[in-house]
Amino acid sequence: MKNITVASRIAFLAGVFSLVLTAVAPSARAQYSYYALTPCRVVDTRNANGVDGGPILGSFSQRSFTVRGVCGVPTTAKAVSLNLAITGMTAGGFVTLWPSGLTRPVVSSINFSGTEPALSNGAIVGLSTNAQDLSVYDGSPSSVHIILDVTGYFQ
Amino acid sequence: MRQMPASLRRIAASCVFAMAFCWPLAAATVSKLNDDVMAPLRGPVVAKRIHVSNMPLYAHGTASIDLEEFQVWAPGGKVIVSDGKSVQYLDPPPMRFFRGLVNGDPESFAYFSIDGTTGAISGLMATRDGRFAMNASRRRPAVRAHAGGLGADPTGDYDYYLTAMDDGDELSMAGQTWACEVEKLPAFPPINKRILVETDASGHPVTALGISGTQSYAIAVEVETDFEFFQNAGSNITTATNYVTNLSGAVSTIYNRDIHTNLVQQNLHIYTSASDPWSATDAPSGLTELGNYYHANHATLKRSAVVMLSGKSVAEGVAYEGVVCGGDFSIGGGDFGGAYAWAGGIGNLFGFQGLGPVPDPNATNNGIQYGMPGDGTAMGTQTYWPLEEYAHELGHNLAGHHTHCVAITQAEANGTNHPTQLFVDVCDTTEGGACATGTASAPPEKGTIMSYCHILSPIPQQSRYTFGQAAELSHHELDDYMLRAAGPLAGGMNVVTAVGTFSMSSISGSSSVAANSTGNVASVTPVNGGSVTYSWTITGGTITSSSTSSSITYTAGASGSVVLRATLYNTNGCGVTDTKTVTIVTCTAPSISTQPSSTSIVTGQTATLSVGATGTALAYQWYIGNAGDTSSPVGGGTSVSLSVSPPSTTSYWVNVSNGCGSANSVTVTVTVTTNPASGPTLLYLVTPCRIIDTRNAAGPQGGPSLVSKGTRNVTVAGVCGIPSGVVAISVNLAVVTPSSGGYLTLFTGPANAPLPLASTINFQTNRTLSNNAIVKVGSDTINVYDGGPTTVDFVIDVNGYFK
Repeated sequence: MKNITVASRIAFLAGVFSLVLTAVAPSARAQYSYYALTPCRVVDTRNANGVDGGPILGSFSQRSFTVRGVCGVPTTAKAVSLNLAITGMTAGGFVTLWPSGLTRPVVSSINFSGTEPALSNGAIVGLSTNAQDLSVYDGSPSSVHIILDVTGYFQ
Repeated sequence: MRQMPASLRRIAASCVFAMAFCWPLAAATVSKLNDDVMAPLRGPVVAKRIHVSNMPLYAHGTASIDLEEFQVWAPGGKVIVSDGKSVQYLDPPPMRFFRGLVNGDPESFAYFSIDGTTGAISGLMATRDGRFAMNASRRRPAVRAHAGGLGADPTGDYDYYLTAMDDGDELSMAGQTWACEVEKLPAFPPINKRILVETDASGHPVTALGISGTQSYAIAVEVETDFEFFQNAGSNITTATNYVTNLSGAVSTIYNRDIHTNLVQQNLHIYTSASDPWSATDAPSGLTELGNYYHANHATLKRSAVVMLSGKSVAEGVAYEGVVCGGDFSIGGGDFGGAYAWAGGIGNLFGFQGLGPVPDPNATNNGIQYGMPGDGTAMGTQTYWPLEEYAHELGHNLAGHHTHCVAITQAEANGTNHPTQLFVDVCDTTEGGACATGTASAPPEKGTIMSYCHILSPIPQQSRYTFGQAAELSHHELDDYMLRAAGPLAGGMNVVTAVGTFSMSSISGSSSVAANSTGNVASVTPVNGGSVTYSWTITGGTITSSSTSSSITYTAGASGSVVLRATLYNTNGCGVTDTKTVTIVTCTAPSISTQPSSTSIVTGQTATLSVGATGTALAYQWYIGNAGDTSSPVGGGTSVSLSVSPPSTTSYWVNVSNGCGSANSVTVTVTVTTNPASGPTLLYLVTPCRIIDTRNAAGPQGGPSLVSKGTRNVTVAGVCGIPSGVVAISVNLAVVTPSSGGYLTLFTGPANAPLPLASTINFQTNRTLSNNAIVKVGSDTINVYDGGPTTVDFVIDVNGYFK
């Protein structure tokens, strides 16, 4: 069972931030408040091609999506809580979410096998101030569809 | 009444205005011409024309010959004489040249030249049934120097003799029969597309232009000879020069008459020692040697073709096909081909009858009186063999196939050979490929220059000195090639010169368009063209753009097909062309079968609208506004579906159209809602605690199991220490041994809250899985939705809340 606390995940997230600056141990940066949202689909690569739509994420490649300004997430949001769902994979691997513009961290947001039709995991992930603020990497030999449903944000 | 052979009917028709009865002159007749026959040829030239009215080409009548003056040598052309140590550049001989038809018959020709030095006149004439040579024999020793040119000898220093050729004249080549080879090329560009319809580039019917017709093109021919040829000419530079000049002039007369083309003699190369560049002893080797020599030594010399007139004892010629407008090309092994033709046996197997002064009326040469066949000096009947060989091999350069390999219909041209196919002639059945097989036979109208009919008995009467007339494909094939290779001219003469291999892409664009559709696009791309000009023509439609650009737009007609033709010309006037037939699809007006649907999105989300429609070649345009309002088209909204992310609620509609109608969709609305956030909140941790387990007995925190597509409203306030007014809870959601794959969605209460497009956990059959989530709480409750096909048990454990 997953029993990582929210607080620890926030700390973990902050560690992602610090990776680009130093190699020192993760440390928290700021205190954020949480704002809850009715669940809302931000990204679905099964849709027509677009910023938050298709095409499918290619094997061992990354792309960035726009989260702020969509589904009620304000442009001032620093992080979002979301549900990451994946489908369409034909081989096992992992997917990483991280704030765009930073070096991709050596972490995973979900691990999967090639036999599962669909799988999901909750996550809290920071957002950058880029127009496309959230990056996603497919660490598998298979392309994979990405679906992100946001449930709230931190700022 | 017995049917008269076609050839005889035509003879009668061609000279009916001259005499009531026309019979060919008896063979091998030599007759002295009266002064009154020669008077026009000696007299002044008016407007470059001469009319000879009484030439006795028939036993019981005379022929009327209209002549026009023309030029054989290209401006600047030289006779280049090499003796192995030094090179001389001599001017062309001071000759004047005249060409015409006999009795206006488009299959006849008459060629005369006047030697500007001696004033002597020589002539070649051919009718459908006879060939004639006219030569001078000096009447008495010259009493004064000639001023040169026509009319310089009003009293007549010469007697003139007319010799009619017979079989014996033709067979004097040591029993050998002249044959020809064609070097089959590696695929050469689309210039070789044979268009077997009797229309020209503009779609107009092609008709043969006679001697007096418009002449459209010139081919500049560089003529090579070898030391053997010089020896055959009595080792006399003047004899060799005059002979080649007359040969080129006679070939030009035929080309001009049949295919609108002047042959222009460029430089003539004569070698007076054995140290010439030519060591090959057979035709194919000679052709390769010629190509390699010119590729290495004259790569930049502009010319249409190079013709080798070899004096070697080789009864054969060889040439490349369809190359007059292209550059050299590799034939492998470091060898090169190109616009080269090789003709052997000149002045050797075929005898040598050049044009030269005749010193004494009673003198003889080899026991034959001067001016008679075989005397070795005068242009005589044996000139016809080299004439045919020269015209034939150069004809290959101009894309002329052997006429026993030219099928009469396009289908046959595309197909493989079959004995029942109809060819222009069947005079040779051994060549193979898509050529005639079966029993060799000459057609009633005899063969052409591009045929092998000369090898059929009785030699040589089965062949004609023509590429064929307008109704004959052999003619059209070359004519069409010249139209495409040289291009029609807007005044003046076009000298076709060799350039890099110039070709073009096939015409691109749709292969089918809707009837009456507009804005159809087609384009071409030149290859190695340099600066290229374009000329488009169309049938079955209308060009609505410029017709002189690389691409065009056009409107299709109502039915049938559109035929596009693009012709590209480079700066040398060489042209290539391609045609494309575009099917016109009978139009079905569009009809909308599936209307787009209104939808709702949250701010920033993307909505996709789509429409279904029937009809051919449909075009789509989406608009903002109400149906019929075209003031706000959506940029790029030209597909069957449209993805939009409007900032606020917006109406859309789509117009579907083709060439014969259009249809409007209904108006649909994309409603944009906000997703108001609740906060700010802080996280309060709780000891993990189970809110609900549907496996338990029915109750607020227990069963029943959640049915497919069902929603369970779960009260969270007052459970596990969660206070009333909580904004969100942090939970772990588990599904227990689901009986099928599916998903669950946790979302905000109250019980009747709308289900958002979202999911919280995806699972598969019999796989107990869990996921954490933060869920916004509404009215102290959350909702759980089963999106899968079967009933499922779930468990929710809380580990904190936001308030």
